[in-house]
Amino acid sequence: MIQAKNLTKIYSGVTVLNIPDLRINRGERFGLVGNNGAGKTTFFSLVLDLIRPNSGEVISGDRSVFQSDHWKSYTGSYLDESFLIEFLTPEEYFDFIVGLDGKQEGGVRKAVEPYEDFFNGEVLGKKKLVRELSRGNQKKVGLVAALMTNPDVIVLDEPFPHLDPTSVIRLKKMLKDLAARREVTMLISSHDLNHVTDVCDRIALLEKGVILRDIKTTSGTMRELESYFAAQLEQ
Amino acid sequence: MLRSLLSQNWKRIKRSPDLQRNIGSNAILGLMLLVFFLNILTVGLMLDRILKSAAPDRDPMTVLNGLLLYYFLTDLLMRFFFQKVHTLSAKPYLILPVKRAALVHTLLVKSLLSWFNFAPLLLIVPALFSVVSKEASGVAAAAWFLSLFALTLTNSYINNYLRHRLTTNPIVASGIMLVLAGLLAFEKYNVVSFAMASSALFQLVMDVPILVLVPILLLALAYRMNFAFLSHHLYLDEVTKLRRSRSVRDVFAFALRFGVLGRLIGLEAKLLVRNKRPRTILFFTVAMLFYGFFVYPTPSFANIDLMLILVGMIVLGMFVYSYAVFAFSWESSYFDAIMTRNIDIRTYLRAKYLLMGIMTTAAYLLSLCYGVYGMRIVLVNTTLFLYTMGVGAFVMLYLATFNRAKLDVGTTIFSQQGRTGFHYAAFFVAIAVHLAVFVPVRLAFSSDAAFVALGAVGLTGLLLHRRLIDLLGRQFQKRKHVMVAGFRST
Repeated sequence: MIQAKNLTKIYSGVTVLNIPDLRINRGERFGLVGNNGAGKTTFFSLVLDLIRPNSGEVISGDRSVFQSDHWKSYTGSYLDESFLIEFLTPEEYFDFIVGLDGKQEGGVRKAVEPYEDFFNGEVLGKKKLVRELSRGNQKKVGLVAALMTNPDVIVLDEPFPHLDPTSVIRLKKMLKDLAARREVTMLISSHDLNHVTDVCDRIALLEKGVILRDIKTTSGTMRELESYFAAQLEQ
Repeated sequence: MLRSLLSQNWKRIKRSPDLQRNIGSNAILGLMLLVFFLNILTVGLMLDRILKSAAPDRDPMTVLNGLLLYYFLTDLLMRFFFQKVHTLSAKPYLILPVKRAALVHTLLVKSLLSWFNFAPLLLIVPALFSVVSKEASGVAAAAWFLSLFALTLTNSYINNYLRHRLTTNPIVASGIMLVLAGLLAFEKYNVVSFAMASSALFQLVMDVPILVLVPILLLALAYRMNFAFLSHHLYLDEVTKLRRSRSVRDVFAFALRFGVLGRLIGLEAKLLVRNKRPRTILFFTVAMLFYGFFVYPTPSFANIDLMLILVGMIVLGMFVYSYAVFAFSWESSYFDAIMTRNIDIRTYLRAKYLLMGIMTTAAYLLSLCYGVYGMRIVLVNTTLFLYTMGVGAFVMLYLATFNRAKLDVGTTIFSQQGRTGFHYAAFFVAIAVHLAVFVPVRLAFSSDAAFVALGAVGLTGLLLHRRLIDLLGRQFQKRKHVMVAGFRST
């Protein structure tokens, strides 16, 4: 579904990302872990054609994301607040996004309905603008906007921080239910090894722009990852 | 305490990224301010002659005093739109062991550090020499000066107080505007002369200098009111609430019926109305509609072609030339959302073009009123309207793709935030774009032919607008990544 070929990104002489070959299959839940500056967000920004690679390309479906906009019709994403339109109310924001999709039936009400528990009564119908919400609630708005149009590819950068414990559990359940229901390809990055191994069935470990491990999630994955990051301490 | 707080505030200004980064554009702005100040200074020094030529049979001092109350009302109105209220910068200090009273005093003293309080001195001080000193004794002149300065500062505090108290700014502003208009109407139809009251009042201060205590008392009162209010309301939740917008209603729901294009226009309309900086542009667009009244009635101006082009551009194109240069950076805070959503770039650009079209057409229709100054003005403005939408708008959108500075829509248009040198150049580019067509034809044939040429080129652009938007789309795709990166950096 998503393929990176000879992908490199260089910022002022430093190679921050170098992925010779990476294939993420349809329906795979792909988790990306790594320390700050490992290149997780850079990779996602390349997948979303927000930055231009120095070499190589990202192929989504069958075409390069750089050459065409086809991927936008089936990709839902949330990287950070710059995906939010802060001077709208959450309802207006969702309405705007659903309206762009065109194919959605039943309008914004129906599209938001499944997420009412997730919002916990703090987001909808409050007559507040997105910029007046708390960070956690802003994040919820962004995450729901990424999910609500039923995309085939979901890209989420650090979805768990700022959420309260209940919401984290709800989000993980939502993602797992979604994967059980239909074939959705997910790309999720996280600092929290626990959450990411819980949700994803494949984990890649990124360090200084290079994928060091690429493993199927098993019961031993957590231990393997923890021992890798613990070993960093001793160096 | 007060001093260390003020010095920290000075550091905040000195170390702000805007001031450090854009040395070039600050230099240009500095130059513009200098020209502006010199202008005011000259007006102040020539004030006696100006007043004499305006009202030859009356005493300049009386005329000047008559204008003063109007001046202070206008001043208040301007402050209402443009002067900042610094409450939020107090936030980090709230948790420190600083006495609340000291904090409030600092805030209030700090609020005086504004051009609005010092720029008037550039007019008042020269006027003191050119008009007042010729008719009054030193003591009387001093009383006059002090009362004017005290009233200026009082205005500053009244503005602060109103802005803190009332979140519904537009209503208060319209209220002040209505009062002003009402007074002018009374004046015109000789019902009550506010000007006479004004000159009588200030004459009284000059005759009985001790009365200067009245404005000073007013100032103290305004300060006291602010102090009392802020002392009771300077809490984290209330301070932030002061910035809250009013309850949100969707006045643009109708736009949603027109598919993606309508949604994009609706979004942009909300951007315009709900954020301070674009809102000031709207205000200017409306205000500049009246610009023609200053020029068209004077035949010596109205016969100069360049003047007609300039005025036409300001009346009709204010929105295009002030908004479109920032066309994409207005959206810098959510540009990623636009870029990753399922939006066709041509539709996106067409939405921007259509919005400009709506605003410019509205301005054009209103400008038809200038027909009272002759049919030629209407015809000239028609050609300029065609040229603005057929050529000007596209040139501005093209320029906008080179603009990759993040823009904070919460600041006023006087803020340096998000400006780079070429924003100042944009208007000159727009003029050059007009002259490029106008001047050759004017030299070869006639003024009328040159305007017809402008209209013809504009009409061609309008007819080809789909093709031009396609071309613009290609340019946009080329620049997209640079813009995304620029809008992301802080």
